[in-house]
Amino acid sequence: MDPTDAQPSPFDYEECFEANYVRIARAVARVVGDYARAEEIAVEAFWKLWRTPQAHGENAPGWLYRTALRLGLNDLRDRERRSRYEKEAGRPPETPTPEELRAAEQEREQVRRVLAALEPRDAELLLLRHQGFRYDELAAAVEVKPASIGTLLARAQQAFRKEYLRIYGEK
Amino acid sequence: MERNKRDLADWVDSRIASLDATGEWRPDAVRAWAVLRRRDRAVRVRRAGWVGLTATVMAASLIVFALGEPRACANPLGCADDQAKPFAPETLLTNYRESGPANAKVTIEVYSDYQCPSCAAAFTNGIIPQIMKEYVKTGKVRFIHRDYPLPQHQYAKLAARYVNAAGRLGYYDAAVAHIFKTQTTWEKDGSIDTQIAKVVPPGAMVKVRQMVQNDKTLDESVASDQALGAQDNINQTPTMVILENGTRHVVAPIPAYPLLKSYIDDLLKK
Repeated sequence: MDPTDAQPSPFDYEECFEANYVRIARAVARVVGDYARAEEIAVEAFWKLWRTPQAHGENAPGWLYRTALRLGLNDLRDRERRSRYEKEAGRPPETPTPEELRAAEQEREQVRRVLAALEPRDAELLLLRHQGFRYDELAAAVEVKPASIGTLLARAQQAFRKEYLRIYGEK
Repeated sequence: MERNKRDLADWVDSRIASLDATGEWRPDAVRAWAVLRRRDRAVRVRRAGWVGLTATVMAASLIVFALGEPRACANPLGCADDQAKPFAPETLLTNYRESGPANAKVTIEVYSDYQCPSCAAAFTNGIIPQIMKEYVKTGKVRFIHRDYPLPQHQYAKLAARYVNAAGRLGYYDAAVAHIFKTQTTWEKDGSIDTQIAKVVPPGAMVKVRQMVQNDKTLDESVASDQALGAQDNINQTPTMVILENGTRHVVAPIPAYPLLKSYIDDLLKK
């Protein structure tokens, strides 16, 4: 694509796409549990980047991750509301026994349900942190001061555990 | 306290790690890029429509205004605005190698080399015109022509440059057809320019030559196709890649039309 009318900076959109698309689609797939939907959401995130010149720059990957995960979480919440989540979410990986397969699937469903119930920023922080983002990268991605990331992350973890235990109890 | 925080972080992370079950799944970046390009084109077309409408209104206003005013130009050789307008880069087409509906269930990509006799046969009176007639023009299938000039063909890359330059100005189909049709003529001496000039108007031909000489993106476009071809493990031309539901089915050599037709029909029925 010719970026001339969408962005005045020398930001290389295609390079950014090539460097990040696969990782972002896989990150979204973890959230939504549906590969086709994950690709649609990843494309949507890149489309938003294309239409948002102010996001072009060195923080574009962080912006993309955050946008894609937010879209994925929104998708998850929509499915929760429509009560279709149970039958649509996730694809089971190959596991040795049906019991293990069921347990793994159940765990994923539970985690997704908890993430969908959290504040968007909390869920994004947990997913981005798990994705390997450093504190400074997290701060850039969610647009907060780096000094407050530790506190926000700890709060997000507490909120996750609280919600998990509220729904599923102590195990 | 610190240990509690670590325990909490580990507990949360171990649960989120349960989502790491994407295995060997590899997202289709090529298809995603194509989707983004289609969206971008759609926006540009809409924008161009508005620009065109605005330009038409402005032009009409200017004509009305000009009819009421004497021309300021007194030069008997003509005024500057009577001369050829400089070429506007924004008028270049980008999707000239694609035909058919963007949302088609099946996309057929064909890698070709302009100096390859089998490609010439396929494109002039062989299987490609049949596909275009029965599937692309009827809106069932999307078609993308990709360049895959083989190293043993001296003029294949130059031919691709000329054809793509002509394509950017809106003469792609005519250029492809004529270059394949006259392959046995230009492959002797590389007289591709002469052949392209037969299907591109003189004014546009000047721009074609400028692009062929100076525009490196023409080579980048070919290189991009070759890189994609390498991913598809292309080792001959013509090669067909049929995309259906995110899967790329490489078809080489291209079978006889009845067999290919039954294969495409099966994919469309899925």
